[in-house]
Amino acid sequence: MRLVLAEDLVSLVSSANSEADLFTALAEVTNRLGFDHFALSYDRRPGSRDSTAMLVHDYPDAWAKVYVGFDLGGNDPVRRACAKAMTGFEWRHLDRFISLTKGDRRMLMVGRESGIGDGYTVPRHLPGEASGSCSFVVRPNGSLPRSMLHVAEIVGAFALASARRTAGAIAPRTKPVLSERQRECVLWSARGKTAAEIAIILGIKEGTVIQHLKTARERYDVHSRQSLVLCVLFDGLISFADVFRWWTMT
Amino acid sequence: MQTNLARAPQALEDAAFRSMFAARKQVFIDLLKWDLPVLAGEFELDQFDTPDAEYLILLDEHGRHRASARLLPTDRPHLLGDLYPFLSDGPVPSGPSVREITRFCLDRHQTAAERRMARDQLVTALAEHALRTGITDYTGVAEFSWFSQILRFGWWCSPLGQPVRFDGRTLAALHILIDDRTLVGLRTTGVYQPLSLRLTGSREAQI
Repeated sequence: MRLVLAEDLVSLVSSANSEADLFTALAEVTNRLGFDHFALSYDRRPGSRDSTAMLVHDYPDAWAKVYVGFDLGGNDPVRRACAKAMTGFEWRHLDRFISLTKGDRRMLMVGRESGIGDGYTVPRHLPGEASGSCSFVVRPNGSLPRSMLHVAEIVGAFALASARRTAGAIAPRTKPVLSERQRECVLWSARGKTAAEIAIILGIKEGTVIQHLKTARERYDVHSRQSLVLCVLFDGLISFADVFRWWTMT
Repeated sequence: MQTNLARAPQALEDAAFRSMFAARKQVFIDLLKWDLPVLAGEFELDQFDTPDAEYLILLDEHGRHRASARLLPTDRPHLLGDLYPFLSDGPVPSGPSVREITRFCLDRHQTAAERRMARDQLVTALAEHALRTGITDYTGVAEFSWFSQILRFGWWCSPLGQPVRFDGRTLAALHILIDDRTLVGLRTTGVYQPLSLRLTGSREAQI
């Protein structure tokens, strides 16, 4: 580990107090570690009243236009992998975290045509608070500076901490938004059960289940069951394992 | 292998604690030169070694200390909350299911390979202890080089704020989330190690 270099670069990104500072610091980090581009995104409580979104990058214009213009963010396989990964990963290992669709491969190909080759991404999902990632990327014919990936991981983690400070660090929701009964109803809903089925499973009236789910939607200020499940997953009140383990058990 | 923190016979407990406090003195005071109180010229104990603290101690087959850590409840005085709150940008994570890891100590009297093995087993023991007892988060304060290692063990670990130069050392606060992915993450990096050392500990410091 290049500890002196890591400490140096961490101190650089940590002194950033604005998006502009972060841009300058990350450009320097990218250069010194032997990458060509960077992108840092930090979304605080997407969809809620406290939401803020930060995107700091120096991707080639062509790619930025395609990415933002076609709203590819929602289909980005790197982003999806971020939701699964806890530590930094190389893009060539994306399929360890998610299954790549035809669309994903096409997107990665368009990326290459627009100047985005291989990359290394440091993900951080802060349950109940934010989702962030910091990517360092090389040109299509370039190769990742593998000896620098450890440093990139540490610097990326501190860059995300700076983004959090810049966006305003807020306390994660410590008090669960939902009551235990509401949480159970959402969990069974995520497992694919109807209100009538949930009522039988929990031994309560169907009307009560519907009321619990309605109150839960109101608490998150969302209007559909799908959005509710996502919010509850984001907050960590239910986990993917809660759902998938049950599926594999049955 | 002992899988819980059951109280071992009193004498053995005392021996384990004594060897841990002695090892802590050798590491944190003699080696790292931290400014900490010494007891009887031989043991390192401070104001946080109270009945509220919990300990994970790994011993070899002869009962000798190999590695240990102290866990402090975060809903009462602890290091990050009371001595280093400025290391955290947001509120310091705290609550009944949050513990602060302090005095992560690897015994000096072992080879590099043994230290590495003891380190990995202690990290594994910390993760398994959390999963077993309902701890959802660990926090901690670490020097930069040690922080860089912890960050890459494979569990979810994030800095809580920027590092700060302090008495010639660079310190940073860290946050570790424990959930059903933690052991998978530790396995991916090879840090996960089933216990071959003996795990002991107790809620109370007795010396």
